[in-house]
Amino acid sequence: MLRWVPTHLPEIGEATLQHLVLVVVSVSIAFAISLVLGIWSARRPRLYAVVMMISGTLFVIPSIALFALLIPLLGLGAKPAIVGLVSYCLLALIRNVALGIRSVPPAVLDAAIGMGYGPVARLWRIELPLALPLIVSGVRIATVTIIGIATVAAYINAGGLGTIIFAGIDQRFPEKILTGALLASAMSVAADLGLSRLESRLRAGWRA
Amino acid sequence: MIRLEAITKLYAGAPRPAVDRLDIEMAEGTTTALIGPSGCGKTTTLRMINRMIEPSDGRIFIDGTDVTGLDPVILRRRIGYVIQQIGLFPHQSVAENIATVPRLLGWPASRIAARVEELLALVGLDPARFRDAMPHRLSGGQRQRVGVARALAADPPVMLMDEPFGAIDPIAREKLQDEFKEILRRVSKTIVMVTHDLDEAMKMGDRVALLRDGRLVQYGSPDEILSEPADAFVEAFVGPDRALKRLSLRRVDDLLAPGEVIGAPGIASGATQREALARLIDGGSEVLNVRDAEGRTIGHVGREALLARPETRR
Repeated sequence: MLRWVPTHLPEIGEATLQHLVLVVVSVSIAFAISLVLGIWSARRPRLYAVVMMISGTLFVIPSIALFALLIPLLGLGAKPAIVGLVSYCLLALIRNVALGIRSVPPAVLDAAIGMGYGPVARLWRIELPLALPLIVSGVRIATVTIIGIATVAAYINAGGLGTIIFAGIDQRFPEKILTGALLASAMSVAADLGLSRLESRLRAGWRA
Repeated sequence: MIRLEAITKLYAGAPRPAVDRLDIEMAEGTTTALIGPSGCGKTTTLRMINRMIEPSDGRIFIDGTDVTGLDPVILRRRIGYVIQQIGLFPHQSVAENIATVPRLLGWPASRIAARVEELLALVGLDPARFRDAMPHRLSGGQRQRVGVARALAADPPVMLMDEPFGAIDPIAREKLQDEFKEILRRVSKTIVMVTHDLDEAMKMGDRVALLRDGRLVQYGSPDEILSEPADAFVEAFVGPDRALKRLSLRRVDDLLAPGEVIGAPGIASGATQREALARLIDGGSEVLNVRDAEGRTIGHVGREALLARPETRR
């Protein structure tokens, strides 16, 4: 049954690591962008609508088409892949940052302002900590989403688990396809579980 | 001392100002209750003092300084702020909540810790039990105790309280009012309190300001408002039983006549005259003996004295 896997462990390990790097780098970049856009648009309904429309449009472009469209601009490799993956994270991340900021109870905000919190200190010490469970939830959704999409990035030579899957397809070699698919799925499940646990631990601290 | 000079708030698109050229002076160390029907401008007035709402016109002085020109963030750290919904920070412990303003002011940690202990004791919460508790574990009354401790933390000369008992259930409310009155008396602050409850205003306020349509209708001691209502509106607002309400403001000790009347029922020293009257009606008696905490009779109070119209206290 397993003929290829035992003799190619280093190759599989490298592809897994590449995949992980693609995902972590993309989510991190998207997180920084989303934090700024989410905070900025949270209490500006018109701006929020525009931001949601743009990130929603990016989200529905088929991944293989988006990667192909980025080739003339950025060439092949990890760079266009990361740009594409970032764009798929934005919708979930920006939305959850904004929802998190808006979830702060008005009385809490009123008390914070009334006691002399300036806008920056209020954001860091009151609004962001209270928004954190929803922000983590956004990170979870974005991560799980792009772990799957990142397999397609192998098509533009970005590496990752997609390399193994594409090789399997070319060579009509089901073991490779299954290996790549199972590892990507396992990564998704692990990210989902880990981040869910973090989310509920954050909530448990202050909600009855 | 707080002085409002022709303070006005006009919201864009509103037919009339929410607060209309209000002049009022609140003496240092006193509690002023702002009261009136909803929409009278009492909360707007309160929130203009710490500039949560910017006045459209007029000036506000605290201890002689015009605060309308100060940085509102700095100003608010010197004004205690208590609201009906309390607004404790749910992700912070009781101690961290109370430490809010001292931390903003950059106090050293040891001073903050000592102050937190002191305040928990002041508001009647055992520091060992409550210091590290999270707000969602507390009852409504305990939360508002923390809310008041938090407002008092940096010892501000002025406290603003917006319906501080509004979220407390009626049974706990009276006890909390009594305790807060005692706490506030001990810390001697200039307090402005908004309430829609007349009895609460009469109980907590040294002075009561009655507002209607953004204007001051009457400003005086609780007894003045009840005995000499300025117009028909005030008279209707305080209600037809204002003579009885006045008795609630007075103690039986004020009418004490010497000597014990053998066989008459007793009443505790410190009881209100209203309670004494009720006791007389209930017991079908002419006289009550007034007893101190040890049960000794310190004098008596008679029906004639209770029914006489009292002098107005200003």
